[in-house]
Amino acid sequence: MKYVLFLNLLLWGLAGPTVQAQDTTRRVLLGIDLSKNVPALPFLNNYRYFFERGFLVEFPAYVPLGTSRSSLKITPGYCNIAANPVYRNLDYHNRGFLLKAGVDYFRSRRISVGGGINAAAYDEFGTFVLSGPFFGDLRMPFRRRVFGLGLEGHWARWWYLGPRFFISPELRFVIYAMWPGKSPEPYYIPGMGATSRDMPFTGGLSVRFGYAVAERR
Amino acid sequence: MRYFLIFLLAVNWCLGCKDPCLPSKEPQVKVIVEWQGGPASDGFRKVYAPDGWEVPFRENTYFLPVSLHADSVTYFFEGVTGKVDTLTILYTRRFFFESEQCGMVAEIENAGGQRSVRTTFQQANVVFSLNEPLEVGRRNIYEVRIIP
Repeated sequence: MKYVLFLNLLLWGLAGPTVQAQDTTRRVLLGIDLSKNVPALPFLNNYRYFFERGFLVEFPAYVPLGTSRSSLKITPGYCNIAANPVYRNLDYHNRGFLLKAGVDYFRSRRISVGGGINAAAYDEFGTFVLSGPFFGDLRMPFRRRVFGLGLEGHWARWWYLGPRFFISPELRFVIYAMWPGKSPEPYYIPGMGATSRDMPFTGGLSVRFGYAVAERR
Repeated sequence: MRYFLIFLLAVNWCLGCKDPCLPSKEPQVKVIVEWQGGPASDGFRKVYAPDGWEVPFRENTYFLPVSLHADSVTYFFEGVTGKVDTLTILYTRRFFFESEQCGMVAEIENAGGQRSVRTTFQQANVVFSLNEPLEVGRRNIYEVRIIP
């Protein structure tokens, strides 16, 4: 069974009103990421840039920064994914933690830009299997701990579907570095996405659907 | 210029015929028997491993599986006269991650510093070759030539 479960939960209790995003009217916006919850997506592109099974949870917290246009965003998270078809004869798993910190700025009510630093510490593990119909399979365990650091920039458009609901696509780009940079190349970096394996950047399009809560007074 | 491009396309097509990956499963050694005449099936009643498993005859010859767990394999060749010859192939194994497409692969090489075969045949030679440059389309050549 192929499934991807993505949770995007809010952390309450941090300084200031915690919000999914905060637009120029200082309303609180709550949303989920549709692009990571649509089960059909892993079938695209022969799984090359998507995982087969996954559990992702992120806890974004937005802290307003004095003005009505910008906020500090801090996002800790956890991921546990499997991507069997990526590397031939390896059942690939990726499990670890991520931390993102950055600033989001609303240029207008409909457009926001942002950037920040992403960090990830995770384990990649699995078993390479070389089939041996006659003498028996050779199974070679694979495990390594990886640290990643990235610089992210993103741009989002906000469309309101009536007074409360909105849909928001976001374009994201991350330049990253890995330690250690061993072979095989990392397939997925928590918080930064699936890599191209050849070049040190990731990118993607997220589509979020959400609800604008009434302004807090 | 047009013919040159056609030539380049042909070369590219031929190189594309090659298996891009080393084996990611048990390699097999093709048996080439240099008989006075006739294919191998005329000369051997059966080929089998020490545990009795019989190697199937296909493509007019035998393909001997190579163990990924050991540095040698032994097979018995039973002739039509009932005579049984022994062939032991010695090799070294190397495993490495070749690419995303190929995954973890096995490379079989000549055993360093020692003979690659021990046999009761008159003569046997084994070839472990990754590429045969003069023959496009051939790669991962594992062959044993036997002179009974």
